[in-house]
Amino acid sequence: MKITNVRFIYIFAFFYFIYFSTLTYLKWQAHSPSLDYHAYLQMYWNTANGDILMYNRASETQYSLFSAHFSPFLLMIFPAYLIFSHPLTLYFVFGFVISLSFIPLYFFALDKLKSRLSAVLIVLSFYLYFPFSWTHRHGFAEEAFATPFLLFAFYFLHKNRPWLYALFSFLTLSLRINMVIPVFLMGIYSIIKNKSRKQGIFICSLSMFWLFYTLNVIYPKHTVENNSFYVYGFFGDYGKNLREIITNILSDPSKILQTLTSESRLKYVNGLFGSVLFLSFLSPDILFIGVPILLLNMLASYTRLGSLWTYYHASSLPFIWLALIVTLQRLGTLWERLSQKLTIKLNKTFVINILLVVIFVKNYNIIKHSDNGIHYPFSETFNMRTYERNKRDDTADAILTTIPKTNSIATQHSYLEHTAERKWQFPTSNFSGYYPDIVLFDSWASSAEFKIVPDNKLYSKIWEDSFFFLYSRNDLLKIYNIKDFVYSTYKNYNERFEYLALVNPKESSVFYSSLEPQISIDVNDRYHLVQKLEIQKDNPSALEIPVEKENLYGANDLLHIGKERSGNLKAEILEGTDFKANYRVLFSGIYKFEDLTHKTNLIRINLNDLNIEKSKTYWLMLSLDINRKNARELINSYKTFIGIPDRTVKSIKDETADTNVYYSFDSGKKWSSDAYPDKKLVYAIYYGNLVTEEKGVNLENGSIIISGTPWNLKNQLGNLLNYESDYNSVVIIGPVTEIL
Amino acid sequence: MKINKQYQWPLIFLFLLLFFIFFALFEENKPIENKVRLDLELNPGIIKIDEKKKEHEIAIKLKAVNPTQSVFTPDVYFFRVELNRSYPDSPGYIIKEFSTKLGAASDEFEENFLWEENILNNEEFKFRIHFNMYRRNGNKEPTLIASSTKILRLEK
Repeated sequence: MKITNVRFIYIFAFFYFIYFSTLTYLKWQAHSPSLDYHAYLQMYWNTANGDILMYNRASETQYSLFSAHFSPFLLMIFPAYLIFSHPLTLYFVFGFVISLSFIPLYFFALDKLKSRLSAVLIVLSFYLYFPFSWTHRHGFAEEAFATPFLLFAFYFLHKNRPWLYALFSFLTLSLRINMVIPVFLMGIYSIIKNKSRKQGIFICSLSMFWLFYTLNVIYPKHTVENNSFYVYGFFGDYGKNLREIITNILSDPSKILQTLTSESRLKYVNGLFGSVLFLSFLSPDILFIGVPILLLNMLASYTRLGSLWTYYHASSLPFIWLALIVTLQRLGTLWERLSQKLTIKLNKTFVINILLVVIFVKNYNIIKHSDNGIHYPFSETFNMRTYERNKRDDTADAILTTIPKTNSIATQHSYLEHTAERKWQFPTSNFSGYYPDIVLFDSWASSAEFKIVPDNKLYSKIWEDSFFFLYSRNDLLKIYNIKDFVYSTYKNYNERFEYLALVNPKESSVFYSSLEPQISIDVNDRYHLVQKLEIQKDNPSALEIPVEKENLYGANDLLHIGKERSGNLKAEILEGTDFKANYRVLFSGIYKFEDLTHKTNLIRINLNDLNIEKSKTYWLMLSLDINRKNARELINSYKTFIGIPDRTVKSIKDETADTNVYYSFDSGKKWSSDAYPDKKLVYAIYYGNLVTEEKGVNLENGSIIISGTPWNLKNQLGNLLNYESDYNSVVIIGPVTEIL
Repeated sequence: MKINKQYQWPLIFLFLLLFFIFFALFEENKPIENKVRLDLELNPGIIKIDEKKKEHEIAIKLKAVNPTQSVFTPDVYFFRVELNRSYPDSPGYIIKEFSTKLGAASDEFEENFLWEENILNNEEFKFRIHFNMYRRNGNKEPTLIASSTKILRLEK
């Protein structure tokens, strides 16, 4: 088959799959989480390990997905995960199926509008339609599969392919209980239109039975006795069971009307229908299939249902667009009749295409200029930092991929998609009170949960660096001399079980000026910053400062690649009592704009050769290194952070100590010191020798994190016996089973 | 393969019948898979929290009854005593883990534990002590064979 013979739509769907997969991969590797994916991944991992559809999310007990949603479809695609057991498998299957949505839409448009250009415009506009992008780009949910399935079901109904229609209706039913509504109504449509009538009656009956079966067999079986069904929680304000909910909704029509016409709900309607010029309303005979779900979403107590920044409208989109196509066809026919009486002779396809171009441009403008377009790389609101990866992501991965899957973990939402393949995982936002084996905190997690490191004696800090903090529960943790472990104590551990081991360089320690970054401040050609460094001991080994590069043209720097700009970040260490007059430059480093990311980077300054002494005064200055070539160039800007001083460090009470953050608004000519009282520039100072030679070091500060059976650990740690001056103890995490 | 039209409907109904029966019978994995009975005695049953004391001593009397007469060897099976916050199968704080052969009809183990105050404080949830028996499962999470639970009552 020649490539030129392949229809446009198959190539388009294929490219959409590649586009989706690329963006999803970039987001995943940058530790930018999406909604709920980690929960589904954990469920798949549990299923592969014998606990079918079990997960715990933030709960401290495991429960079955069927207690929330009867979604047998997830078991139908599960073999893909069994074959390719990778955290991204489910995403790729999802992307593949979603990409198929364009195919039935294209062929239906081609059938109805009889123009390839019109069908192409429909497909391109649907791609730009932001409610569609949010159904699958914001996160993962089985309900989002309803868009392609219902499009296929309707298309096959239209083409008189009754069994394929029935198959896709069945697949839609197997997503979630609310899918009973569009599937039932499509059955009614088939009966009224006399298309595949037998199958239509069958599908209507099956939908009704599905509802009965889910409410009377599945939910009672998987719900704790006397608890209300999970799905009723979406309508919790109306009642605790189906009867109460329906009665209360119907008994107060004025309240319902008020809710449906509230500002947020009208915005919801405008987002769905405004983008297609409300033309879908002119084909109510098709639109009626998709509307009830929208009404339910708008009435729900759980307000996320009534937001377009999720997937709950996924089953309505097919009917909005199918109705649009039918409306265009009808308008074309009307135009044809009218034009016979008019002197204007315009081809009906031309008129339809004019309308479609308007729809295309409208959708393009929405995503180009508003937050609704955040998922499109050519939108001004596309957020670069969500897709960028830097050195800290490497550090996070080195830790997360090493922790054995038998260990339970609590970590920030950013990392849950990377820790989900295990029985227990928890978000740190709900961490209080749980006792997972290992806790990882990151002060700069992209999920923006700046956390205070817990002062909890139940856990011990086993490693820290680059503002990452790794804790282990005390009952699982034992510290050994490396020699003792390698020669004897490794035998105390179960030879078939995997353990985590951490080796830190001798006498290493870190001082943080602040662990609670609160305000970001600019560093550019006008704004410069200075703060006195707090030196705890002589000869610190490194200094780390968090910085981000700023977008000069809005959120999406991608649109402005190649534009002329200049200015790199300059970090200096000054020695002297007065940074304005009496100082010498001890260190000066330039950090190039293109080497930094929009998310937090840590610039690391090696202090080993600077002979820094506790008794002397040192200043950290951040400014811009600029060599402007022409006046049109834009000047780069950077951000750093200030926060409240670290509470865990006892400050040395010295009334004369200078703790000001000095800030200059005019390139360092004048300095202000009162802009941020009681705050500190965020930085970390490391003490102890930085181990740089190759000794199996895989973490930034010379630490080594490994996992394996006791025998594996013994062999790996045995190599370190040659470096006793650098390493002498190892932390092993995992219970020792005492044989009585 | 083309299915003869006259079989289409019966096959569809058969498929759906099996589908619905399968999910009606489908049970999620029960955490406990064996009938070994474990007994747990707490002594004292009520822990009085003395805020001046850092540690509290609690004696636990454990008894495992083996009605099956199977020999549970220490290489394959082990016992764990753990403290959980609320639910029986949430990740717990391991107080003690040990292996022993359970071959006779019953075995008893008596242990005294020192619990640090910080484990018990600042929590308003129920604490449960579990005496669990596990089977090792290669390098996967051990499988829970039997469990006994008591609620630990705390008084200030």
